[in-house]
Amino acid sequence: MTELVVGTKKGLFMLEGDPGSGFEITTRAFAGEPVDYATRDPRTGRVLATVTSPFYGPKIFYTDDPAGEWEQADGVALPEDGDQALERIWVIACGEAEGPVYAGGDPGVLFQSTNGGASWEINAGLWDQPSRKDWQPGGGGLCLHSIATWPGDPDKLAVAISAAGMWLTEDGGRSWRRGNTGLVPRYLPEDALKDENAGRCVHHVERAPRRPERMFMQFHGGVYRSDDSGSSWTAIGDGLPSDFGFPLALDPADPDSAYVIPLVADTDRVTPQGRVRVYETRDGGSSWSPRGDGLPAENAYLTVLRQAFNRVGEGPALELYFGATSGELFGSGDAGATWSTIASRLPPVFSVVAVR
Amino acid sequence: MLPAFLFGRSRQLLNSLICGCLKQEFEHLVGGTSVALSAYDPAMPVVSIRGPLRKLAGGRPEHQLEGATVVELLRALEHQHPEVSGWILDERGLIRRHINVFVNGERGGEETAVRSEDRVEVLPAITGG
Repeated sequence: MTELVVGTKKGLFMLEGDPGSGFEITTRAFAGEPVDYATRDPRTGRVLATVTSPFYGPKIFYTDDPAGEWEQADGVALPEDGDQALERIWVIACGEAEGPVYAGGDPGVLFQSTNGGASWEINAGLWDQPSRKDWQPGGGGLCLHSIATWPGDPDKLAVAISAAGMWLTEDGGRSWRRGNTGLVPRYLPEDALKDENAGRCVHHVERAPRRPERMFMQFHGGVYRSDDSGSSWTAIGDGLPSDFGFPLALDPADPDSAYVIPLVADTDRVTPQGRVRVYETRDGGSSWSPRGDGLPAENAYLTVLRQAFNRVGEGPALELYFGATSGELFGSGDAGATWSTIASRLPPVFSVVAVR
Repeated sequence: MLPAFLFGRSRQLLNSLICGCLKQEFEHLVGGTSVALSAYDPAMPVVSIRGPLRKLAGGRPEHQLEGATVVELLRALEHQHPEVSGWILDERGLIRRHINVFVNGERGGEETAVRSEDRVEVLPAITGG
C-alpha cells in the first residue's frame, strides 16, 4: 500500500492505494488553508506540514496521527527585531539516520530540528552569509526549495535557493560555499554572469543516493548534472522538447536516471503541445525518452509545480507520482512506462510525497 | 459583539446594577460573549479577537490588557498566551500584512495610541476576489 501526502491550495490530502488498483482519500486536514508542503518522516512515522495562512503567516505543524490533533512547531521564525519576516516554508526534508529534519523557506532560510520537527533552529551559517544582502529572489520569492542530504553523512548537505543558486556544506552547516560553476542563466546579459550574486534560478535539485556525488538539477531554462557533489554542472537538456520546468525525480537504484516534466517556457508554463509527458533518462542525460502512456495526450495544458513530483521504491518497481495545478494527480507503478489518473478534482496541487 | 455603550464607565455602572441571574440573562441578550461583565476592569482597554486566534488565546474572544499602544497590547496578549506569538505580529513586531486592527472602529497601526476605555478589534483582512 502506498501513501500519498498531498499539499494543496485548500488543505492537506492523504491518499492510500496502489498504482494498479486506485487510491482513496483517507485524510483531509487544514481545510481551506494553503499547505505548501507535507511529508511523513519514514524514520518516525510523524507527518509534518507547512501551512502559510494568508492572514497569520507561515507555520509548521506536526502529528503522529494525521486524522487527529496537530501541534504547532516552535521556532519557525526569523530572528526577532530584524528587518525581514519569514514569508513561507517551501520544503521539509527528512534527514539521514539520526540526523536532523530540515526545512527551507523564503527568504533563503534553512531550519533544522533535532526532535522530529517539534522545534526548529535557524541555520546561522547560511543566514549570516555576507553576500545575503545581494541575493536576488526568483518569481516565487527568495525560496530555499531543495535540500539534498548525503546518505550516511549528516554533515554534508546541498541546498538550492531561487535565485541565489546552490550552496554546499561539509561541516553540518557551519560553513557554506557556492556550487554554481557551469550554470548558464540565459535570461541574464553575458556581462552579468561574472556577478556571482546575479540570479541563479535553480528550480529543483535531487541527489542520486547510490552515487551521492551525482546530482541532477532542473534550472530556469536548462537541465544539468553534477558529478562532483554539486560544485560544477554540465548541461544535459538536449533532446527534451523544452528544458524549462520545475520538478525532477530520479530512480535511487540507478545513478544515471532522472525524470523531468517539461513546460513550454518561462513565459508559458504549461505542458508543450497540450500533451502531458514525463521525460526519462537512463544514461545521465545523454538521451531522453518520453513517458506518457496513460497521461492526457491532447488539450491538456497543465502546470506541475516544483514540489509536486515524487517517487517511492526503485528499479522496475519504482513508483512515480505528480500533481498539477488543475487538481489532477497521476501515478505510475512501473517506473514511468504506464500511468493512470489517481485523482482529478483536488484543489491545485502544491506538493506530492509518496511513502510506502 | 457588545454594544458600544457597555464600555468604559457605562459598563461599570451597569455592571453594578445587575446582579445574580439577571446579570447572566443580560449577558446572554447582549451577544453571548464568554467574558463575564464583572471581569472587566474599566481602566484597561479590551482586545477582541476571533477565528483561530480565539482558540490560541485560551478560547476567550475578549481580553483586557495593559498597554498604551496597539503593539504593546498585542505583546501583552502574547505574554499571557504564548501560543498567539507569531500569529498577529511577525518577527519584526509588525502587524501581519493581511491582519487589520481597528481602535474604536478606526483603522490602527502598531503605534496607534490606546486609552483605557478603548476597544481594539483584530480582524483578518478581506482577501480574494
